[in-house]
Amino acid sequence: MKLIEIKDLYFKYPFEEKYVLTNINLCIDSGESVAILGPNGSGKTTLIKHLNGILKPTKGDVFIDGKNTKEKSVAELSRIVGIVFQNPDHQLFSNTVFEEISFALINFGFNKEEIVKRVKEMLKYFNLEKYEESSPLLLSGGEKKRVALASVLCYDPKVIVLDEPTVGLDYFQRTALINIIKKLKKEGKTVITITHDIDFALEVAERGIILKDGKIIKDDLLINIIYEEELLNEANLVQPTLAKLIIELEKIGIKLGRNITTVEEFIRSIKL
Amino acid sequence: MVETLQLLKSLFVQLSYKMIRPELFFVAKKKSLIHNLDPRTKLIFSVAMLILALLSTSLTYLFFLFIITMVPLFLARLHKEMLSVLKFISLFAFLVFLFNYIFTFNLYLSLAMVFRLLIIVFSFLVFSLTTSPDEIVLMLYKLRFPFFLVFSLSLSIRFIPTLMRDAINIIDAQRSRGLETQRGNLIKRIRNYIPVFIPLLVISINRAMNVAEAMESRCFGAVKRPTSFYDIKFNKLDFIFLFFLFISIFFLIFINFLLSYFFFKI
Repeated sequence: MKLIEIKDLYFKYPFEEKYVLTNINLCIDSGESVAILGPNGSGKTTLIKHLNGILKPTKGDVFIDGKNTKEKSVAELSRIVGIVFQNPDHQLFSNTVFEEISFALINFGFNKEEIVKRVKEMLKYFNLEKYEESSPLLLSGGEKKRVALASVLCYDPKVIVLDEPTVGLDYFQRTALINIIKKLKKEGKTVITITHDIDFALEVAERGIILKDGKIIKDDLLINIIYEEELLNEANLVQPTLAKLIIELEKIGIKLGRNITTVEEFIRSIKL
Repeated sequence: MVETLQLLKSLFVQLSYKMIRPELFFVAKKKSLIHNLDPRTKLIFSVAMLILALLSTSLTYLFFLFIITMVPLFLARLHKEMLSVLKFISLFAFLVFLFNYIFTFNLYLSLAMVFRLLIIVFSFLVFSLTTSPDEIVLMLYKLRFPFFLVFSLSLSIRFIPTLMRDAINIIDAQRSRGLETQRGNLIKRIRNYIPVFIPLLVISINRAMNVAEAMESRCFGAVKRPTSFYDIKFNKLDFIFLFFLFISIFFLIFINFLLSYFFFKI
């Protein structure tokens, strides 16, 4: 089922001449996991801001769950598409973490018992229970990220969009985030991730979309994308070491097959 | 009413989009006679025009003054900028006209007030559009203002576009969490902005602290009067400009005198 459908999307900011996005055509089905990759300033964030109607297309249409974003308000569309922005400092404002997470639920008019139930669930899910009464502004970077994520996930949107979730996270927090996203995928959520980190993308997504200068230059399975060295160079992305290794091995005549994504699989294929 | 509000909103949006583009906010690197003038000359011009505009309410006098104000703007080739500013203040000009007319029923006076507004705005436009923030800072520095004050001023100007960008990001993030700023009565609407203001304040304080640390680690404040790399000084052009300015001031005072002598009411 098509959850997100973008048709001939062109976008430019008012009073500017240059288009930020040109001719974007995209379909994302329910339950898919997509990574949007591309260099800085390629229009990735601008593209996802169209998914809940913060930005409306200059030309073309965006349909979310069959509804045209031009006809719906941001609040209505946010119920379907939850966007977690890059910098958690841009949204934390409450006195306590509890209030912070309940903000969206209050805005969407949930009843009291439901709010308490959902916030408690989220605190447990993100391992934030001990911070329930502390100020979100005093948490560490990774914890702030988790609060920001919880404050969007709490109202259970069908689509979750993460803008550069790995920036400023250490290895441990990154692994925790990967596990959370994997769990969400298992629950049947559609997850869209913006990232520069192709290793991270491989962990959390199947499909990769590469954006450059506001155009989609590649829309394919990530497992195919990682072997296209020229394409990755063009998009300022680092080819995963494993892919490099497999290509080099192929050059000396050892063919391991190109569906390996993890070190374990690699070792297993060598043993065979 | 709704249309007026929409107009105001679109003006605000236009302004905020201009603000997030630093190259529009700061002075374009156009070069003309006026751009090359010493900022002090331009300040003298702007202040002189401001004082002259407040001297009389005669329409004829203000009309001539308006024409004199326009000369440097045309010399600086700022027609485009002038038009966009004109568009922006046309609403205020209209309101000034309307209120003056309602309270005095004097068409000439109301028109004169509109001209006065235009003169004040355009005379300072000459200064602000042709003088880069660096030059303003240099000028204040030359006028013996303490360096840390001058520097904080230039720094705060430099951070306005950044702040606007942050504000837009914060509004986007909060709208994604269901914040609707246009809902409820006036007090509710003001309260709706709390989720925008608090992050903005926190970010600004954090940034100020970071900048302060970065500056101190590069020896800011080590000496009282640091070297200024660029210099401003009066040259021939400034004296010519000031000469013409004085001639026009005398011309205006002469007109004013003539008008009062012949008891012209306009």
